[in-house]
Amino acid sequence: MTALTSPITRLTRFTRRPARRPWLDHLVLAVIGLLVLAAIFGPLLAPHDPYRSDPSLRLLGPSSQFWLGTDEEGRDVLSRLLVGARPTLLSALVVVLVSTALGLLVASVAALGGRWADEILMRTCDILLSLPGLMLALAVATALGSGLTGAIIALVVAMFPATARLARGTILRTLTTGYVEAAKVMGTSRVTLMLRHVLPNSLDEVLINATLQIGGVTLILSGLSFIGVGAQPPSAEWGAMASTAARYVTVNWPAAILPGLLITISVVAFGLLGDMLQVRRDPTLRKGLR
Amino acid sequence: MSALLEIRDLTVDAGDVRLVDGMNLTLRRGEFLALVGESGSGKSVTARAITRLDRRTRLAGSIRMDGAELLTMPESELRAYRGARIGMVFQDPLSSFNPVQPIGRQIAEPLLIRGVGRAAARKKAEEMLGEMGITRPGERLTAYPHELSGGMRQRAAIAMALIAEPELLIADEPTTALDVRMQAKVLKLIREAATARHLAVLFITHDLGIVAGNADRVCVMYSGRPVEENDVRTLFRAPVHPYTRDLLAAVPRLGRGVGSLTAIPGVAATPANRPAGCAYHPRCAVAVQRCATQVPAFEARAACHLVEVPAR
Amino acid sequence: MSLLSIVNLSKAFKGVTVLDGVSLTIGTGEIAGLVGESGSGKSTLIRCLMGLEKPDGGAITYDGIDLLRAGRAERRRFQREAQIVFQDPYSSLNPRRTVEQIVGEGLQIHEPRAPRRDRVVEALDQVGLGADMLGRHPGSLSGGQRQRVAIARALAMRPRLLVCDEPVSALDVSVQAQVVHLLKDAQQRLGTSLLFVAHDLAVVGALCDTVTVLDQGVAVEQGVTAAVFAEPAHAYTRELLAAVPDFEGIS
Repeated sequence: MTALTSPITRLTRFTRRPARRPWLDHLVLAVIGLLVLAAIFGPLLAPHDPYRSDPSLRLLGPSSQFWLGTDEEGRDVLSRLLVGARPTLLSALVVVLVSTALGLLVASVAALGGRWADEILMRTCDILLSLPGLMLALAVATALGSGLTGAIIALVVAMFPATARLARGTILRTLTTGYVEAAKVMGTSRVTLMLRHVLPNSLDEVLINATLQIGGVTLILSGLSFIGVGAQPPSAEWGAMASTAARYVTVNWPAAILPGLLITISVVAFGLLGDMLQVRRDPTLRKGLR
Repeated sequence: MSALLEIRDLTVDAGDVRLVDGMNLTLRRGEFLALVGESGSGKSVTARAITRLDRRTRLAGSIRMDGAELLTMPESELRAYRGARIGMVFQDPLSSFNPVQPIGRQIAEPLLIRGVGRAAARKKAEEMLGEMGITRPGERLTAYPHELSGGMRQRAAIAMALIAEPELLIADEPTTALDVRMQAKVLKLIREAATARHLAVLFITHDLGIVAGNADRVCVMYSGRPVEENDVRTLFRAPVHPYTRDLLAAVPRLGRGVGSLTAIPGVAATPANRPAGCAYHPRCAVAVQRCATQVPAFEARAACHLVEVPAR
Repeated sequence: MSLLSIVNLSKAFKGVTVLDGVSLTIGTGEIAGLVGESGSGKSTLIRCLMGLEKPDGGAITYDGIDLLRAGRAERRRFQREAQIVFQDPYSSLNPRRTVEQIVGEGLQIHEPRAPRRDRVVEALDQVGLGADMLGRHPGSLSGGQRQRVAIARALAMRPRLLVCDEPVSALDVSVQAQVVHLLKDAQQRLGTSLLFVAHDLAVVGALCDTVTVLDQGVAVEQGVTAAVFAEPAHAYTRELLAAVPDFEGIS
């Protein structure tokens, strides 16, 4: 509506300039690109077999043969880091994808399925939300036995209720918009209504939320592996690597520090990516634009 | 009468778009000037430039109030103008109020900032609400913004704008969001308050009809430029710019059929895709070749190549 | 013969009466005006008519169909023949769909075998938009263009009843007249009946054959527009008329 939009919102249409710090955006994209490359091609790029131990090569410092040295079983640290990108990042991605999909499904059913479905689903989510997430993850992981699969399932269970709540909110808001009502009046079927009009216009927020979650999940999964509940040795998962190498930090520091550093970089990069997406969607969030 | 506000050659840029392109305006004390235009005409941008509210825009030219240049004034000095010497009312009264504070406190705020005592400020706030035709103003002071109707909120916003006795009131589409009957009422209130205080009013609106009975002078804008300015009677009786004429013909009036309603062809030119020459020429029925290439200068009362400039 | 008749429609939200026994009839090819301020219940009336809200009492009859008790097939006929244009063209079009998809949506549902693109182009042509619009998204259109797309979406179904909920109040003055002409045109060419909701009495006076004035859920005045405007019987109507800006006094 021309008359009722504020000059500010109208202005943003003209002033949608590239982000204020384009180099940071580029850096974030570059880092994420590298991480993704490592996750896909890591095993091909690794100069040595990451699992072959050789007692004669234990805990060597960086050299021309082993750029980042070797660990306590004589395995090449660089190769293990490259190979480890996959279990670390992929498992985080799986957690986020599955919990987001599950959350969206629950939210759609709750929003469209009438009052009873809504009550039951949302109260269930409330109960799950009231349990402390990490404890839940620990409990499920213990029940299912230690291992990455257990940790992944546990995290999905801990995370999907929050996504469901968020998605239900945006879906309900989208349901009141003019074009959804217009489609209803026209006699559009429920499923078409949902798939064509409601979900595409509710996804933005949920997807941004998912991106922001990837970093956090990486951290939690690695944390679980670090304390021995997630990925188990000899897996090259970064958390597990950091855990075992921590004991030898004085002898070969890269083996202990680098997995942690990579985890940190991933967490920050995905967090910033989420911010970037959010700003793209709503330019007024940019600093100094008020 | 001396000029209170003088805008000369104002340009406002946002990014690489020129939102306002060469605006000139003079406002005297006690005068009610309506700035009329469609969306994208730059009327609100002009008004907001006066208090430099949008930090994203770049301003050039000159805006003088009582001789002092507002455009180059340090932010700290300008702050003393906002609220005190310049009162402002916006379209959406809900956005002018903090939702978690009672309105009385907020109406009195401009006085409290300037060190007026609590009791005195409260009393003045009550007076102002009363002047705005709100019954039992004392009780309303403790109400929260959402507890008031739209019309009442807008009147409270006007009370807030006028409480520090400004010399200039900028009202940006204050009646647009209101119901028809409330529109008339709010307009009358602004008009009366202005007369009583010898206040200069800059009234921004897209609605010519609302202007007719209330303004002293009217300035019509199109695509960031002023196209015609005159006292209200002359402008309505004998508009000279083709855009003003077309606009008047496009407003539905009581007692006339659809046949007499003449639509303007095409789409309003936005600042982002402003045509060369006179911005109105693609929609203008009487445009000649020159209109497409040369920007007409604003002479006497209108900016149009086809208007005869009377010799002085 | 009346195409639509609403009898004694009532609706309350959480105990607050929004519609209190409102009746209204629209003849074939007639333009009926519905006037009222915010809170008068005019939006609720439309929402009840279009099936977005369930009224508490009363009856709505459309061309022999009792809409409130209609079966699936009858309901679908109404959905095909009755179309609506909403007030805000910025929210009534799905930002992710193209103009072609938006305008053709009803055809896809109700007349899947119709030559969809031809009908869409025809409808766009009726509202003065070219076929170059087909692939555009609403975000790249102006308010007036969007509202015309919304009207084209309705006209593509060749509706017998067109409900317009404040279709011009969100538009710039210079474009309002275009839309009013479009609607008048549709009524004359297709014989469509119109229910035109507005708060601007000047537009209603120009366009509508009959008018119903709604105040706080009650129809306070009803009749032929010219007669009602010439001699308003109810104080509320007089107030509304008095609030219409008067150019004549000045020019």
